[in-house]
Order: sequence, then C-alpha cells, then structure tokens
Amino acid sequence: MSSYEFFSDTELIHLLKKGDVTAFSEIHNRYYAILYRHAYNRLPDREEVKDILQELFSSVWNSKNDLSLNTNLPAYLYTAVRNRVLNVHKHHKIKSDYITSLQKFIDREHVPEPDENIRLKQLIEMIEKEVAKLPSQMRLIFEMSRNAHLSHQEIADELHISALTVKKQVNNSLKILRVKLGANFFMIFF
Amino acid sequence: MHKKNAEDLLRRYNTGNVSEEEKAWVETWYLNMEPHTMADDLPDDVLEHDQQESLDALVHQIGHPRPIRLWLRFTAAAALIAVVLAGIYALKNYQKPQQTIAVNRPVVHDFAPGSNKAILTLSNGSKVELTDAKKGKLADESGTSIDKTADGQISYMARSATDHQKNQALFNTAATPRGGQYQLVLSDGTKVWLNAASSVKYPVEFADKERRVELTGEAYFEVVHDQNRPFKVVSNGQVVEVLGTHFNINSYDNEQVIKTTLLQGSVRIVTGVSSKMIKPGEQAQLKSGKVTIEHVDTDEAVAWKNGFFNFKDADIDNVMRQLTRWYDMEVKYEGEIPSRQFTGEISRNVNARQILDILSFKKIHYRIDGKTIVITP
Repeated sequence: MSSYEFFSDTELIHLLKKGDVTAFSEIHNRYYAILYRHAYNRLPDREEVKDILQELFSSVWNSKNDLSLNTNLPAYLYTAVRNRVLNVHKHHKIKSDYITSLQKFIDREHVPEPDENIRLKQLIEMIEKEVAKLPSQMRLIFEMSRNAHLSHQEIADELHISALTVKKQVNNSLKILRVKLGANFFMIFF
Repeated sequence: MHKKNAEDLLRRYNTGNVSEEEKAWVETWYLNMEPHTMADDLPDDVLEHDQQESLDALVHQIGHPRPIRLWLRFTAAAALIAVVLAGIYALKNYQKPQQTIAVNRPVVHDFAPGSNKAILTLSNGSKVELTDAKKGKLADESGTSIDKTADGQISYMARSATDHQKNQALFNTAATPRGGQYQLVLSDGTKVWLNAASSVKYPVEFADKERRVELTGEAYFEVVHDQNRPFKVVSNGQVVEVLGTHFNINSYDNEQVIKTTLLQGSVRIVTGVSSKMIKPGEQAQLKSGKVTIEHVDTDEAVAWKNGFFNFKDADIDNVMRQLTRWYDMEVKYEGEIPSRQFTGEISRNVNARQILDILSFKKIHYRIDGKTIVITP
C-alpha cells in the first residue's frame, strides 16, 4: 500500500507491469470519467459506453506487459477509446451517421493531417479539454495527477467550499479511518 | 484525390487494413467530428455509479479484493489517507525493513529509509561493521566479550577473571552514519539508542567512581541505577549527570539548541557556568552557553527511537535537518526558506518522497537533484 494518488502515470505503469492491482485501480480512477465523457458524446448509449470501457480496461490489465503501454498512458487510452468508438457494431443509426459524416469529410476534400504524432497530440488535447466538464471531484483527481498537489485552500477554491470544510472533511475521514483500523497513531499535518 | 467510399474505408480502418494516408483521413475526420453534448446532461451520480461498478467488476475479474482506498470519495482525504496507510503498513513491518523497502521501492528518485547500522571502533583501532555482523561474539577486549545479541544491538559482558583496571582504560566508539541507528548495552547494563549520524564513546568497563561516556549527535539513554557511580554524558559543551534514569540528548552540531529531555528519574545539566536539575517532562535547552528549562511533550523527543518523526511547530529547516540525517540526502534552498511550521507524526520507515509529498500539501515545493532535495519557492 502506498500513496498511489501521488504517483505519476509512468510510475503507475511501472507498478502495473508488476501486477499491482492498486496501480491499476488508480489508473481507472484517473481516466474512467474522462474516457466515459468522450465516448458518451459520440455514442450516447450508457450501456454501450460501459461495455466499451469495461473491455478497454480489461485489455489494459491483460496487455500490461505490452511495449506500447510503456511511454504514454493517456495516448494509449485515448487511442484505445477512439478505436472502440469507431468500431461500434450494435448501433446502425450511429454507424450510418459516421459513414455520412466521413463521406462528407472526404468529398469536401479537407486536408488530412499526415503526421500521426500531431494527430495523436490533437486527440489528447481534444479529450483533455473536457476535463473541465467533469464532476469537480473527478476533475480534481485528474488534475492532481497532472499538476502537483493542492493545498486545502486551493481544493476549497476548486470546489467552491470553504477551506475549513475541507479541513473538517479531511479530519472526519481520518477519524473514521482511525476507528476502522484501530490505529493508535496518526499523522496530522494541518 | 480519388473519392473514397466512406463505408468501405471505415470497415477497413476497423480491421487495420488501411494505408497511412487512409488512416490519416479517418483520424483527422474523427478529430473534426461534431460530437454530441449529451454527456453534459449526464448526472454526476450516474457517472460515479458507473465508475464504481466498473472498478468493482474489473477488480473482481482480476481476482483481487477491492483496494481499501476506494471507501473514500473525497480526493484530498483519500490522498492523505493513502499516505497514512503507508505509514501504518510500514510500522507493522518495522521489524522487517527489507520487506518494506521492497514495497516502497518502485518510485524512481526516492530515498529509502535508514536501517540498523553502525561502525564499532575497538580500542586497538580496528573497525567492525555492525550492519553485516551475525549474532554472536564480535570481539574480545581483554576478557570482556562484545556480542551482537539481536538485530541492531550489541552488548558488553565482562567475565569475572578480566583485568578491570585495564578495561577501564580501553575505549570503544559506536558510530552511526546518516541513515543508520543502533542500540547498545554497555557493561553496566545501561541501554543506549543511537540515532542517525551520531556516535558514543565509552570504556569497555566503567570505572569505580563514575560512568562516563561521550556523545555526538543524538541518543536515548536508559541508565541502570547505581547510587555509587554517577553516569555522565559529555556532549557539545555540557555534561549530563545522572544516577539512574531515562533521558534523551539531542546535541547535533547543526542544531542551534542542545536538548536534554527527561522521561524518568532526575538529571543534572552541568555547563561551564551553571548546574541545573530537571524533572521528568522537562527539557533543558542549552543555547549559546545558557540553559533554559521547558515543559515539553517527551514523546516528541524520543519519537525517533520508536520509529517516528514527530514535529511540533517545526520550521521546514528543522524538518529537513531530521530528514537528511535519516535519508542520507542533502538539502538546498532556492530563494527564501518558507516560514511555515509543521506539526505531525509520521513513520520513519517510509520513503523520503512520501514525506516530501505530504509537505507539498503545505505548499512546500521541491525537486530532487541526485542526492539533494531542492526546496523551491
């Protein structure tokens, strides 16, 4: 057990490759909501989105030793969700919408971006732009994993509640945990 | 270009049967596709529910129990508590530091906690590394047997036929490096816990009139009562005289104040100009030759011996001095030293970064430069 929320994606992958389930659950915790939003906006069917993501995360676990997972976790996940969104079978309506839209795109002779890396970068930007629309706590998890660590005041500002409330919340959680674990020591850095 | 058939293109894209150019078409189109905004109408609790359900199913599928961390939805608390759990876990495994290190190791650029190690210098100048010594006899000093009795502990045992006179003139020194600690049982049965970057020098056998040791750094003493032979600890400008008692002396060169904290019995602090008695629960603080006496929380003073850092209104410099001794790292400050104070307790058996990350909750920013922690504005 360790402070997984503080780990970078790279560190989580390192742990994941060793079969660390908590690292896997932290990756899920970090990315599920954003992948869900992205898929849902292109495939507005809750059950379908859930199935896609379930299969996606299963495959992350099963292919944790693949080299492609080595470097860029978001790129891996976002590409995976795009490919699954495009590969939708059940919804004929959505599929025919895709085809109509793609056909229009081709017919209008847009210029496709030839550089795969640039396309990947654009995909990452497009998906992460939606972080702002996540429920605040999920957004925080995501942003904390990206940016460093927030103080109570910063968390409070994010959540539009008072710093005191954050402090109380943290302390309450500590109390609950103390009871649950029967631990006789505590660190209170506040 | 030749007008492609979108249906055919998409099908081939999904099976991976496309040229680079065709791939670029599909992926660029995807980036430009006008999405719905249906997710905006999705209630938060639906998303939360689906996320939790998904994780439960996955973890079940993988065949492991659900990680404990997921009780909590409040992020900051969860992050904090993960660290607390790490501390508890480390504490539970305190007797098995190797194992804990293995658990904490995967983080790059981190510092593993210290361990039981010291160097024993015998009277003839030869050195014994106490880290690797197996249980049993380490050395003989003219009839006194020096044994490693347990992990991280040595003891002195005089045999009846030894030359007392000679032994009283033989001195040993036990010294811990940064990131080391060790426990000794001296010839009179007095126990000494030596903190990191510290040393204690003592005779193989104590004299008839007094028991005298010299300390640098920090140690906790449990002195065996002997009415006729006062125990004296000489350290950094003061002598602590006791008959039998439990106390801690922190006399590191880079601390401004030398602190002697009494847990049991009574001790006298003698400096060049003064002599003061302190009672249990009191701490004598020697600063620029002057002794003042304060009431303190003795737990804080001896926390290190019990495997904790314990800070009370400690400034960052104080915190970092303690960390650098235990984690064998250096500290540097860029810009102003932050003036915030810290109160709290955390296991000494976690990696340095776990502690630094807690500090970053209090806006202490840092980066790791090789063996140096750089505190940045």
